[in-house]
Amino acid sequence: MSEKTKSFEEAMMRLNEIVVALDRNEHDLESSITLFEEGLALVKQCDAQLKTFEKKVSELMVKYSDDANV
Amino acid sequence: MSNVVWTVSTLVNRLKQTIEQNVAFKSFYLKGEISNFTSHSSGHWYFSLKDEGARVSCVMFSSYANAVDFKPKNGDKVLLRAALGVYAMQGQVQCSVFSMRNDGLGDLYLQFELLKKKLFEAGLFSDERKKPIPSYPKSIGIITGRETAALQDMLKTMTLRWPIVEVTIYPSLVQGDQAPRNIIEQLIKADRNQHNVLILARGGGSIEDLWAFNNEQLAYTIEALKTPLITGVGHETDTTIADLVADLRAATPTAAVQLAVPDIQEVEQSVHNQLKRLNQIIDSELNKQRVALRQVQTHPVFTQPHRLMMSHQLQLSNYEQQLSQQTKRAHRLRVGLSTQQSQLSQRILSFTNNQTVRLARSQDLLIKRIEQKTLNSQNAFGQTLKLLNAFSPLNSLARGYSIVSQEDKVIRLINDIDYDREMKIRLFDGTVRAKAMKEQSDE
Repeated sequence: MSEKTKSFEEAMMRLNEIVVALDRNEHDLESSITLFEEGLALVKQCDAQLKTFEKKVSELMVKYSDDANV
Repeated sequence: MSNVVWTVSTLVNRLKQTIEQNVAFKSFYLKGEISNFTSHSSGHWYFSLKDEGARVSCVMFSSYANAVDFKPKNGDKVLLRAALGVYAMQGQVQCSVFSMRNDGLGDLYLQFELLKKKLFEAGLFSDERKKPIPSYPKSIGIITGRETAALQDMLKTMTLRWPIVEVTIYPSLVQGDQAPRNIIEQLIKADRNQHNVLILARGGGSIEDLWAFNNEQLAYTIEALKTPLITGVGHETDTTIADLVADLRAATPTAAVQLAVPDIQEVEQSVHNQLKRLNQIIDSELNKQRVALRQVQTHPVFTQPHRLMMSHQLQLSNYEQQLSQQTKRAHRLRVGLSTQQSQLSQRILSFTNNQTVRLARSQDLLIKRIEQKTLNSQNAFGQTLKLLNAFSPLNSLARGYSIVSQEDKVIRLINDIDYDREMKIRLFDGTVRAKAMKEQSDE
């Protein structure tokens, strides 16, 4: 896996690659397991990132709606 | 001098052609005093225009007469715009009038039209020269009369619509001979102060009141401004040169403010709507990503990861099966082999046994035969011995017979005898040498 944390978009792209590759089942078992593990890690990362985004959006909405109403 | 005789019609028609073909007569300004004014029931006006030395008859058709904003009467000094024609029936030149103004204003109107034409030709009114007006100005300069109602109206409107703007007022004379110069000075001063937009305004008044705004130098000053300018001079119907050169023209001072600044309530509403829209967009984008991620998460690759190994397992069990088949085959072969082996050893054993038996039998037989044979031989030998004894020459010799031999050859016939050679005669008790002598044969 890469040394830097991927952006959400990069992670999703990589995730899709992995799914396609695993779906075709064209790798040897060791590589497949490595991909599988990477895929699970990316799912976790994307999920966490999405949750962060969602949280941030609702926080921002609260913050700036308040400002606008004042 | 020509000798040709013209008819009256020819003369008048030639006069008509000459006049009507002359471009200068097609549209011109004419000033004078009205006399013999008649308003016909059709709405057309007929009158003469005169000055100290001449008069000319005029007609103004109803479509033009209706647009005149006063009712002319005899003795009025007016300014006309007209075309010259010939009324053949009367043999008269006649002005066909398009517009009429009171001549008190006649000069001003003419000057205005001339200046407008000149500046138009110089390109001062062209749209390409107009600067865009900023949507949300922070700083505005207003050039207008000190402590006028127009200024109060403008400030009130400004406070209602866009209270967050910073307003600087540049008081100026807005009528009289000094006004144009004063306006120009204030415009130039305001232009240096980095306002987002300038407003040049004056409340309503007569055409003479507004005359300061029809100034050529002012027009060029406005054209050279770096700051966008909005004008609001007079009422809706008034248009001044300043209005024409300005980047944006409003009908009144208040209207100028409305064009200069947005309505803060509308802007707030718009900001609110934008915020809502923004939230919707980001929400839908997040949703989209959430759905995409869920799709990946619920993909069989992740929900049934054993599928990853399925093909490998399948292959493995396949190999196992093949391998076990090979083992079974080997086992079968081994069993077959050992069966054959035992069969072989049994066969060999029985064969050996048979052979041993046969051998023993043969041996017995052989022994018996040999014994038999020996017995037979012994019997035969005894008989032979007896026979031998019977035939033995010794017996014959004993009985008196003898054996004649020559050179170890037994002589049986006379012809065998060699008379020259010695003979041996074997007798019962020994041998003697003798010699034969020839004798006459009986036979």
